Amino acid sequence: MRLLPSQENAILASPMVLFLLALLGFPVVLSIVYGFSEASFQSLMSPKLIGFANFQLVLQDSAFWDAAWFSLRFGLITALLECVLGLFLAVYLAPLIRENGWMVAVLIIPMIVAPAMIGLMYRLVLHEFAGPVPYYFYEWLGWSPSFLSTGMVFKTIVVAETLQWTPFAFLLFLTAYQAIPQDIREAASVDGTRPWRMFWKIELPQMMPTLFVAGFIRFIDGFRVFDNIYTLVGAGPGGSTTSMSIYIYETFLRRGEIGKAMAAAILLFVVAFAILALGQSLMRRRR
Amino acid sequence: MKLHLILRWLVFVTAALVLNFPVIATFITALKAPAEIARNPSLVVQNPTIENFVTVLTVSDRLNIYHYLLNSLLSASIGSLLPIVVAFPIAWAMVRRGYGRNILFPLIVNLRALPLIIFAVPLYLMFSVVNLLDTRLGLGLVLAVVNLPLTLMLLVNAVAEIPIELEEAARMDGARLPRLILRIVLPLCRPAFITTFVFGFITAWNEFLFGLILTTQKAVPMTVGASFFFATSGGGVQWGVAAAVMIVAALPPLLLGLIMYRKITGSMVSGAVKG
Amino acid sequence: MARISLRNICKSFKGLEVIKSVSLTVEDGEFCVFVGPSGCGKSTLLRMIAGLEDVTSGQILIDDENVTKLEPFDRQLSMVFQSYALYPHLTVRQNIAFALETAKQPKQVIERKVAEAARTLKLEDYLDRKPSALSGGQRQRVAIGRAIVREPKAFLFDEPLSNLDAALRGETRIEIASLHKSLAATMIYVTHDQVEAMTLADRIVVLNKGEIMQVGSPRELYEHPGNVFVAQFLGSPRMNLIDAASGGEAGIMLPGNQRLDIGQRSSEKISTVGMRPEQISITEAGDAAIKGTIKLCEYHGSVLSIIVDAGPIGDISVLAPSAGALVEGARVGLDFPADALHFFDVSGNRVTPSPQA
Repeated sequence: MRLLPSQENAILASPMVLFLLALLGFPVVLSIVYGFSEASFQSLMSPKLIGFANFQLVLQDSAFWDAAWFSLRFGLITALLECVLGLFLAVYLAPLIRENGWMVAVLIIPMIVAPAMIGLMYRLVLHEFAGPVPYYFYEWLGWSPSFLSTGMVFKTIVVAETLQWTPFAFLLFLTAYQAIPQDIREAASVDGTRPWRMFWKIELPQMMPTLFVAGFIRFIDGFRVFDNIYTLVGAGPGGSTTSMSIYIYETFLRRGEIGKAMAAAILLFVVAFAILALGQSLMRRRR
Repeated sequence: MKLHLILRWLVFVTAALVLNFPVIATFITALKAPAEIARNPSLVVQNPTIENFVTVLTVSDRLNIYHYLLNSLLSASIGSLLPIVVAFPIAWAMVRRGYGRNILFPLIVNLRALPLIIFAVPLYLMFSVVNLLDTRLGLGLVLAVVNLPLTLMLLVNAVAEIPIELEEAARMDGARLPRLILRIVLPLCRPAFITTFVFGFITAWNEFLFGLILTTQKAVPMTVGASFFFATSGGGVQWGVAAAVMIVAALPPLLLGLIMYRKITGSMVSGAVKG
Repeated sequence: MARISLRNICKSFKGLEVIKSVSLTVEDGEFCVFVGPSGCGKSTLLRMIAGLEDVTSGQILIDDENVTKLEPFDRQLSMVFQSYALYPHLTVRQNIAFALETAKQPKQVIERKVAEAARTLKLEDYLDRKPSALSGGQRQRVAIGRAIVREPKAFLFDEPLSNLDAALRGETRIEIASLHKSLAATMIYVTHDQVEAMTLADRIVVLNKGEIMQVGSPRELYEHPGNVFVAQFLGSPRMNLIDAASGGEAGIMLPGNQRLDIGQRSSEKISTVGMRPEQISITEAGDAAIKGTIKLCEYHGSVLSIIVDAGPIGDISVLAPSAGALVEGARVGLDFPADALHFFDVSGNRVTPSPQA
């Protein structure tokens, strides 16, 4: 039997297409049905269509807007911190790493540990009796902040997130830095360029696309944060650490408001998709 | 020059300690006996002991860590192997025939930027209908979705790196599509399969949200199991044992990642930059 | 073995015509070389014969069977690639056997044929190595071995020597020539190197910008180039071309009002005169037809390569025996036999002046 190339293509594509239809197509249909219905875990099999009521409910919920604001702030701040720290480490340590490649392995360890585990580890590390951090604060300063209190918790999780994902920014920047052709640097230094000027005028402009990519990826990851916040503090004191992901999770599993959770998920999808499209068109324009 | 070298080392050591601080502190705590933890929360262990690890690795009524480890192992294996199987044929068609390059490829690759919670809720509803809730297979299938975007990207890169002349030579040698793919393309992609598998396995092992939502008991993965351990201890957390649980839970991806860190970092970078 | 015919083959790529109506027949057992500057379409033409590129219009026939629409694996040709394209994950033995296994030949047959090819190509000691453990020359031989075991209808070579160093290139060229002799196979060979083309070919096809400029034996092409392009493409240094105009009865006129006697032949239509550097000899200035000053004199060992500034006529290159004592700046005359001249018309095509009535 002879197959046409188009038939061959269809056969090659079929596993992927079937997989996607089963695991994404079906849920998409469900999202839409439940997003426009009233349903709880008791009435799961008999959703009642109620139009846009769920969306109205979500948009009128101040907790939703708090969560959106939280995610946005969290994403922007952590992305910025991670990029600045990562850039510094990459550029400053690059000469050392050229001779000691293993250093990269040491610095990327945090990324290989599950974010959920990191969240749990901070529970231990920051614990007022068993944790070494408060212990050393008392030892050296005579006092210790209460890291998970309403006033401090945002700073604490920003630091936790930043320390875990700075290695990602570092890794991208290191690769970009090492990819700058050595002869460009040599040409510049023969022309009398000093290191500081070299960084601002030669190296940084070459790394700009990577800087943008890394910042964007980190922002998206920060925006959708769930695991480490959830395992460290849950929704936080007074809901102070409720990210978009946590908001939907709580609405769904804690309060059983399925329709509202779905509507929120659909809204989040739209927002995330818009951010993504915006970011990608910006990146394309830069190229 | 000399001063800069010392400063650089100083920066490296500081960064290594600060970035890895939670892991280091947890490991140190895991080496302390319960009595010592109450007395001495510092980072210096007076009487190192493996007592906590023995407790964790011994099956008891309160804790059977092997149950969680096995769940994670099986679901992460499904979650990292299945996407390779599904994505490899279409990756070839995308590179060599341009098939699905304009719609399917960007669609799948962009999936990884979406918040996972969006999928979690409808998948929960779907799984409750098809009886996949709290099963390793169900969790594995979802993890496969999570890994699909990066797997596809890495395999597309791998196929694109095969010199086209090799495939042309095979076609001249009489090979039709099945033989071309099985005898030439597949073996040449083997290194990419291994990297993709390891990367996917680590991602799947570390996944938490779906484990939390889609499993309750039989299929609970290690990440979620570890968090249970914090929650369920009624009379306060046994910190030494908790620390040991976390170390054991983090160890498999850590070992894999450190052994293959060059490949892992390489795929992280290409996954980020080319996407 | 087989005869391969091309009938009005055209190929457009994104609105650009890369091959413009090429017709050609390669006879059974012939060694045919496609030669031309880079971008002339020679590789594209070969790949169309192989079936690796689509044909926009026209037909390709192998032994009178129309194969234009057939996939490469149904044409029973074999090809040696510039990059060799050895399968890196297979041993030399498996590389050579690949096509036979694809054709599901019996094990003993495969073993015998692989052994035979290995003996011919002196690869017996390397059969169990991977290609990465071989030298460039050995890889080249494996690629050839892979082609010959198939006993194909014809062999296609796509610049097979260009990745080898100079010494090895000469050696392998001789091996390919003797292979052609012993197999008596139809071979089509693409190169940009005129030495390879001249030494290997029964027939050369000179291509430029997707068109055939001339087809013929090396000697025909060299001695009777059909146009200015072929005249200048073959031969090193290149043929000298001088603008000329008909001078009626008096022969032809060169720039600077210099008359050139071409015997009792009509000078009509002639607009360019060509002469090969090695057919010019340096004489006393005296009453030579063309006079000039030596501008550059390069010592090449066996010959001197000289550039003579001939005033309004322009620079003329000359190959002279290196024994002579010539110095830059010397005033010399250029002498050449009348039958060494080539004539071309305004559009660059060859003109054979007819004897005057």
